[in-house]
Amino acid sequence: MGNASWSSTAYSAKKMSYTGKSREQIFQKKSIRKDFDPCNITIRESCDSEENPLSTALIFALDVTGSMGFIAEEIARDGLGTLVEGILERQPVTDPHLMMMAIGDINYDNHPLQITQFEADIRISDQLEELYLEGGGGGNHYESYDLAWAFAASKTEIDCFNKRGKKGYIFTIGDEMPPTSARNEVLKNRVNIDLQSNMETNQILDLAKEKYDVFHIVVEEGSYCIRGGSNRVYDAWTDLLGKRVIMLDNHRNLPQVAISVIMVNEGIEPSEAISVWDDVLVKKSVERALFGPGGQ
Amino acid sequence: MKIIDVVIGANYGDEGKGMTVNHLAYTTTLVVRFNGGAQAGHTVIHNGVRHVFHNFGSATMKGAATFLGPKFAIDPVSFFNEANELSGKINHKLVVIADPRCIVVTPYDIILNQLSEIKRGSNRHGSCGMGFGEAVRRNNDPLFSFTIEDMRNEYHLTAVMDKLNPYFWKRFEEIVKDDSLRSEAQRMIDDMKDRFINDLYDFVKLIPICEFDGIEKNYNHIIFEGAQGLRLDQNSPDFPHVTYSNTGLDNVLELLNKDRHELAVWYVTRPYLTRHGAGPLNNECPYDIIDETNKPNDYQGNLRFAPLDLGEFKTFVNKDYLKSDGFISTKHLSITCCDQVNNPNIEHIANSILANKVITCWSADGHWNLIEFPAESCI
Repeated sequence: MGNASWSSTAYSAKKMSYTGKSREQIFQKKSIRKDFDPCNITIRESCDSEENPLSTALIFALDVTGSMGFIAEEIARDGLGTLVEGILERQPVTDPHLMMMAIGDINYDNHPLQITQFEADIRISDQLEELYLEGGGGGNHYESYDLAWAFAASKTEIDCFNKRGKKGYIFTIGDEMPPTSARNEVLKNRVNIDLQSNMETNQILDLAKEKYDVFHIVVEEGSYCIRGGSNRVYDAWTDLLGKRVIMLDNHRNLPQVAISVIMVNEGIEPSEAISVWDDVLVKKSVERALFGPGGQ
Repeated sequence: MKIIDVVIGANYGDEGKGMTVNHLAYTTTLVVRFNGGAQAGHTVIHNGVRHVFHNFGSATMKGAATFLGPKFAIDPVSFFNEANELSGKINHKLVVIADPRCIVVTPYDIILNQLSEIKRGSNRHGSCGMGFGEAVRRNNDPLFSFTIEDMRNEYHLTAVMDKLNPYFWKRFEEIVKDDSLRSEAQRMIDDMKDRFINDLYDFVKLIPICEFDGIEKNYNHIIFEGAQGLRLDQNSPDFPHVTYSNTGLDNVLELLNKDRHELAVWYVTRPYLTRHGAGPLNNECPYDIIDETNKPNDYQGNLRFAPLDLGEFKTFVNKDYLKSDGFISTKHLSITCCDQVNNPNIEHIANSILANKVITCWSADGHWNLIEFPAESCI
């Protein structure tokens, strides 16, 4: 109770004085963009061109489910945008071609997977705005991160690997445990991916590893990590990915952490990768990410 | 088992439910509004930013999502006014999901409510004049009910004002009985109608509609946020100075499942009793307490004060808590505004209801303490 004041003038005002935002901008988007829906995608290509003779495919797949809350939104709207700018500016790989995915839960979400185009420039940022954040997921404590691997393995053609034998990158980003794989029938029906047979999570991962270096970033601020304990999450992912599990203590440092990981993977000394950042807290985040929570 | 926090006001409202919800929430919590409507006003100060929540869960500034439950009454105009206000205070987008069974508050309900409060003069019910009671009453008549489910149907959207018009004038005859107010009523309808229809359309366009079962498994932490207080429950002995809703556990339990959910019920009170609007208040006394939310409004009178009678407090709380029989549950206490009196008697209040955990709030912007009582004291 206790509403202070109310008058019919407030009600009948035909035009509202917006705080610079439309209603569409205030609320989370309600539906998926058709060309992001894997059911409408046959293949996604990252091709060399005159401007990008040495293209490198980079895929960032973000968990956008309820357990991530507004962190998913901040990463989708701001973090990935900054990441794109950082990669384009620092060029840790040659001619980066960026693709973004939004991942949900194949058992619960209406749209468990969304996929942008591969883009070589800042156009990718506009597509980030268009991602639909369902706020679903959870329940079984697994998000369908394997969808990113399955899609990359079966539905991307990347010149870096096909022409030059150089692997692309896939980063999955989220707070929950590694996925259990869905039956091939479910994959076909829900996300239009056909792996020919039922596969275990590690088999799907192996398929992706043929063309990509695969990393997973654990968002420690997500509610699954907070309530379930991030060590448990870290240990489970380590079983699957070894040292390619990256702990992220502050989601705002995602761009710097991801760029540093790529730099190290491309042969730069970890100490040098850390030293390129000015901010002390960023340095700490990157150090924790590169050396693991135990500092080994 | 998933633990569900339930926050319930123990008195006449104004207990501090909003700040309790915000304190208990994470950025990833789903807050369920399970009763009342926009007439609720839950004040929260989060990181120095103050907002009075009417249509959104009180943890929205923390980033939490809102579910408008099946017994929530939605006034789309109030909803978008508040969304607009909120958008200037937060950096993230609003996540709201609505149950298809939410009833819709129309301009008719608001007008009837205000006219009848004017007619009642000094015998006011203590209603805020926002149409909630009239909307609930109208929806009991299947011919004139109007819910979010109906909003999905575009035919209803454009035609709803015409469809409900006969009901309005019939009810006008019943409660207003004053022909001199007829043209005023018509003028108010004409004023409000366009904005109302416009906002109905936007609501359908922007807000996902889903039942609780479909959404709850997607959130690891859920808080049920009650509006009003136990003494304003429609079945309270204080009738007719009550609200047309269940303010206790009733609506909550309807949505939950004893095999999957465990309850942590937080009863909220101040160290003293407050009431705004009309209705009985034993041992009423003057109190020099500043309260920004509860400015007197034209339809409602002032905020009044009295000492908290622990016998009554215990009776209301325990009667409500008993409803959770069959569920695994624990009973907790949240005492707010502890800084506004000398030596608030926290232990006595806690002992009166055998509370398990007690959280106490010592400043309006959320300085909280937690006390856990030994297990033997909470049998």
